[in-house]
Amino acid sequence: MTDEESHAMAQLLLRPTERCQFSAQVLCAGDNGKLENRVLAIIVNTQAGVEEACVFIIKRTGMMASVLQEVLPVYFDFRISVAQTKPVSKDDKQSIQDSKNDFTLKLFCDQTEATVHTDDLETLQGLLKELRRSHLIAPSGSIQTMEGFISSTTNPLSMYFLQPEESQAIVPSGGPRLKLGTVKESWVEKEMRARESEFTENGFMHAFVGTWNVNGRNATQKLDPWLKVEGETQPDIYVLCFQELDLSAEAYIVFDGAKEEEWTRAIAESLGSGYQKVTSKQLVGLLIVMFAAVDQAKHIKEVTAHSAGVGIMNILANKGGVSIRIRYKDSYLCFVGSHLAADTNQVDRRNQDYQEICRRLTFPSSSTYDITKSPAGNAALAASNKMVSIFDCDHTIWAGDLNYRVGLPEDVVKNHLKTNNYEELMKHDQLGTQRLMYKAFSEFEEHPINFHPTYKFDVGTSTWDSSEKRRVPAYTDRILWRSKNATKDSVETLFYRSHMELTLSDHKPVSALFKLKVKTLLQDKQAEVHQAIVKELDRYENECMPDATISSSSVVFDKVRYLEPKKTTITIRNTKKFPARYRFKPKLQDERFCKPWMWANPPVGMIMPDETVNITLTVMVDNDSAPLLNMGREVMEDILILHLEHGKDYFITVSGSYIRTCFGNSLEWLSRLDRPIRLWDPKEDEELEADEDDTATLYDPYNVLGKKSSRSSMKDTDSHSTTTTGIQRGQLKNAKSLDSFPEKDAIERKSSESSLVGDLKTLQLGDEKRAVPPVPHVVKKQKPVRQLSLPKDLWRIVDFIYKYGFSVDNLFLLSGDQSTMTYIRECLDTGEEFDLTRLLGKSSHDDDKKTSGTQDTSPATDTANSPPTSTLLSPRGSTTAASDLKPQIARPVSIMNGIPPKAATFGLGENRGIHSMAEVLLRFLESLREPVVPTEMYYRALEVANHQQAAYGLLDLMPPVHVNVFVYITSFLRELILIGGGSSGSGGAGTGGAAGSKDGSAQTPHSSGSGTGGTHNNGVSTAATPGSSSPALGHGGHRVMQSSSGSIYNGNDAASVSGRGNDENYRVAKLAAVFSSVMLRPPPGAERLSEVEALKRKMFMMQFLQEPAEEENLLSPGGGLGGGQSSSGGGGSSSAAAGGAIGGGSADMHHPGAYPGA
Amino acid sequence: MTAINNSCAHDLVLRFVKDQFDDYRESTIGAAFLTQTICLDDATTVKFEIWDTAGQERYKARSLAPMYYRNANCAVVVYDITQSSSLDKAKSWVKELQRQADPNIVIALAGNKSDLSARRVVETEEAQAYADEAGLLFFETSAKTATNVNELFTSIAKKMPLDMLANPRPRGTGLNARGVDLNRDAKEAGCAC
Repeated sequence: MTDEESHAMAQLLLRPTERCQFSAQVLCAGDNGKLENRVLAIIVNTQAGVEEACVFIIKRTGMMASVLQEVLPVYFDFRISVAQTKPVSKDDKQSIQDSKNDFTLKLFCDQTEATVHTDDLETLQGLLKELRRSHLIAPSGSIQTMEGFISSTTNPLSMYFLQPEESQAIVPSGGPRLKLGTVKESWVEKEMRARESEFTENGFMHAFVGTWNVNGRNATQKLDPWLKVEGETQPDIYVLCFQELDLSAEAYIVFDGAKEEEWTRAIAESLGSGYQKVTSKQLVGLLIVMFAAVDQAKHIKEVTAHSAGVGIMNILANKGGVSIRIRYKDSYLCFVGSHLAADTNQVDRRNQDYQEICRRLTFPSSSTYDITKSPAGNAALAASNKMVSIFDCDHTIWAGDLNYRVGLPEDVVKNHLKTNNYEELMKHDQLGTQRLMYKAFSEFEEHPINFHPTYKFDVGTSTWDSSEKRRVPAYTDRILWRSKNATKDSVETLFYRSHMELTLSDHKPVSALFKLKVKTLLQDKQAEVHQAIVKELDRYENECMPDATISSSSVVFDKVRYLEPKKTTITIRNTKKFPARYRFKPKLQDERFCKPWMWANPPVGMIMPDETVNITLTVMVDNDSAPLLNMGREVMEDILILHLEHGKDYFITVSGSYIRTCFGNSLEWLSRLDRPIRLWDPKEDEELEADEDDTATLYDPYNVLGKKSSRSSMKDTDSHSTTTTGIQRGQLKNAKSLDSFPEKDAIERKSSESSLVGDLKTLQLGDEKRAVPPVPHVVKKQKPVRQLSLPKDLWRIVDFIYKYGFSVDNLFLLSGDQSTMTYIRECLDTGEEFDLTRLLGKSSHDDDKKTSGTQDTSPATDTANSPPTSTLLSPRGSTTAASDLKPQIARPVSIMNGIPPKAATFGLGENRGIHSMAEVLLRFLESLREPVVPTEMYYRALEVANHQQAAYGLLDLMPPVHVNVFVYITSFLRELILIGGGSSGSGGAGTGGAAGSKDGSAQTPHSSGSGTGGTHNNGVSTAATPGSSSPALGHGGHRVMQSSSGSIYNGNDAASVSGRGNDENYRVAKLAAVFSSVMLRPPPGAERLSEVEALKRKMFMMQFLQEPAEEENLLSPGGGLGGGQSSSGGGGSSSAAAGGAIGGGSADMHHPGAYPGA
Repeated sequence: MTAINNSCAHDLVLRFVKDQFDDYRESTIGAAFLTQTICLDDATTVKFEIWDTAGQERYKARSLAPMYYRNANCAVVVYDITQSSSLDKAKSWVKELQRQADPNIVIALAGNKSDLSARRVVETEEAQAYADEAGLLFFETSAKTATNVNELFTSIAKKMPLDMLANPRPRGTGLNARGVDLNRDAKEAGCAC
């Protein structure tokens, strides 16, 4: 590659205000690390008086194609380092010689570094010289104009926007800023340009352009030979450029219009009355003047003129350019007249003048109307107040004394002239060669010259210069043209000639007649095309939006039951050719995109083109979502919004028919429901719905005193009778259906502490073991008729267990059977009778008269009838060795440990129905919207867990129905403990009833029936070992209770190894653990239950499962405390045993949330 | 712009954006997003970003429409001149928009199906009087024959507050326009813009 080629290559990349100061071939490491040829060029952009330089490293990719590999702005932090590549040894002359032509040059700027190698000292010197110069004048601000280039090295696309259109113009803002809007706008412009013919009408106009260096002479000759055009086609406009109009020294200082006037007059005279002057511009000796045919004047608009001096110091303007820019119809024409540096050797100076004139001749853009732009775009352009260059027009015609010479000796030139061998002369024409080298006028074209040189003649003659200098004849006076978006017919040069007849100057005038294509804008059409293009763009934009088909926009779930998940699938197909992303979008103000009873999976996703994605919609009503649905406050309806990213939304209507259940409700509400929930229609029973939350207002835990007094006043005014025992057992004994639900009338609960205790006492079972558990009665005064003391569903469950299940071992400790539980729930919801065959098995179905006593008396039968596995599961199994029992108890056999029901049901044997019912009870309590001990009292309950009296006191703060349920459950459990505990003998059960009578008679079961207990004791205490580390809290609590209650556990104290006593403790702890986990629930969002918390919870529960302290103690707080103190010396071994039991219980409590299926 | 649409609004949007009309097409179940730019004579381009949303009663009841009109600069409410109840529905939409939407929202009322003049039941004068009273732009349009469709959107664009045009969104000269379109059948309200 020659230097010329290097230079040309750099030139290709440049915009008009940029020039290549230096270019050379260098070696540079390529992608693979090997040295490859590159062109290094120093590019200078001069704009608005600021010069910015850049080093380009250009990689050649084709004949005239290249890419920018590196751009390093020469900036204040630009640095250079030069080193000799090869090591030099003083002794080795060869190495010294080599080092002289092998250099490594490192260039640093801001973040870029480049290393090049050259073996040419001359190249290096030139390069360094130019870099130093550039560095000296480097702007201190940031590089502006080169930004586009810099970004092009990382983003090849950006080069596209530099070319071709914009690169032809001085980009107003100092460099293309690549913004999305710009890209879009430029696309529209490009399209407009491509379709320009649709909204423009092309026509032609004739422009006569002349140039003459008049050598300071006056217009003494008629100009006709120069200006007259033969033939019919007369120019529409004349543009005449003069140089050296005035050579006097004053001309530089004082503007004198006399010369211009004189020449203008001469022109007018010659052109006649058919033409009139449009405008003119003079700069010292330079003059450009435009005349137009009178009938064409109306087409000429937006006339502006400007000048730029580039002579000595760029100010004196002995050289420079003058320019006129007009809009002719809807094309812009720009004419430049110039005088460049003289002297044969000043080629570079002339090139520089050219660059300078290009740069400095600018026009306000307000005079520009770009028909390819939208009206808005043009308005913006005009408003931007930016300048446009001489190239921002349809045709630019440059005329003047350019002073380029012919590079041949005088005699050779003259010889060629004898034969009119212009071609040969043009080969040596400096302008021609500079253009080929892209050093000047490279954008311009020139018609072939077919006339003699126009310089230099003896004045007054047509004789070549005969002075001593004998200047070589030269084509100094030239006319060139350039068209934007040139097509074949955009410019036609009708003639290009000189005029030897005019002799008053040492130059001859030159003239050219151009036939220029000009366009007329058809505004309506233009608006149409613009709108169409914009529409097209919109169409693409709309097409680029994702689209999909969705299998269904409506999903219906039939018969949705509590805790039974139902699923359905919807399918989305991506119908576009690009991936689409979807997500479900929440509605305004919603955080979740769907109701709590449903879920979609996956909720977000990507769909590949033409592929489908299945989204599973699942509905499941759990404890959280059940209440509103059960109460009919909410129907199962929702609309999901499936959103395609950057596109449309689909609405998916989800609806379902929910089957209501008594699970997942509030106790208040349930106890006001006087019939099975399915038989209740929310629509006809708005009353029930309306006051559902009354209890919340009635109940105020923070104003206990006030509440108490209001309760007593309620009591006073209440006309309903109050009963403490309330129910005739006989009445209830045979109650089998809801119709005989024990209570239709409301009874107000006594509200004093003593009466509460009294209630508890009287609630103890009488001597009829088969009796239905007593039902405490509390009613809210406002709704006496509707208020039941507790939910009938609860009563049905408890009643069933009471009747059939008391003797069953491990009640509440084994899991039920799932399908049986579902069946039970269904019976509760519909009011249907329990099918005893199904629940109790064939043998016992007719046995609803069977007493727990009967079962109690036949424990041996029980175990014998059970499959062997059952005995393993039973800690009471007398056939099982103690060592075998250990793991059984500690092992997760109990339902609390999350054994899947199926695994646990084997071995349930015919007690399956009972165990299922037992689990239903737990699940029911667990499902309550508000736990039996209300959430807000949860922490208070933990606080008083050790203090029986305080624990009882807490009951008084609970809402009435909650108290009822709590008392009901605990009474039931106490009885269970007393009766059920006697699986080893009838004695225990027999005396169980006696426990109801206030005092120590309850001891009886403990002291008796120690038969098989002995073996259990071992098992229990071993199993409890892990719990022996349980907090002292637990022990303390026990001590208090044991000593203060005195009577009940005396037996234990006395006989600490009594298996019976430990068994009792074990059962209490176990049941307390199970029930406390469902009756006391931490507030939602509370931290994971800690061991201590679980223990305290259980302790609280235990306070109610053991016989209360003596009445006097309860009544007088001091007594309780005293008891506590006195207890400090309580029997060590018994408390250890109690602690062990507690530990065993808490070990089971580790995963309270792991309820199977919960 | 939001178009809450019944099928009429959907038709209008389709005509405006795609210059199409389809006699048999599914009604919108969801909200389609479309863009359309129009050039005004006075050197302004207005880009409509249109949400064409289902305006059926059940969606209206579920407050889905506010998602689409709450940031809208304009709304087109469409009724069907052959169904008298559709004007009432349109009025309720207008009321909702005037109450809930941006206070500067430009609302246009469009009586669609003007090609079916034989079946007309809503008189032009009646609708015009209502529109004047409520301060709405009013046009009778035909998505089928394209009558007045561009005129409708052009006049909306012209009525957009000038400061909005002067301070276009970063994306360009875009306006976020919305329209509500009501048909009188049960599944209507649609917004387009």
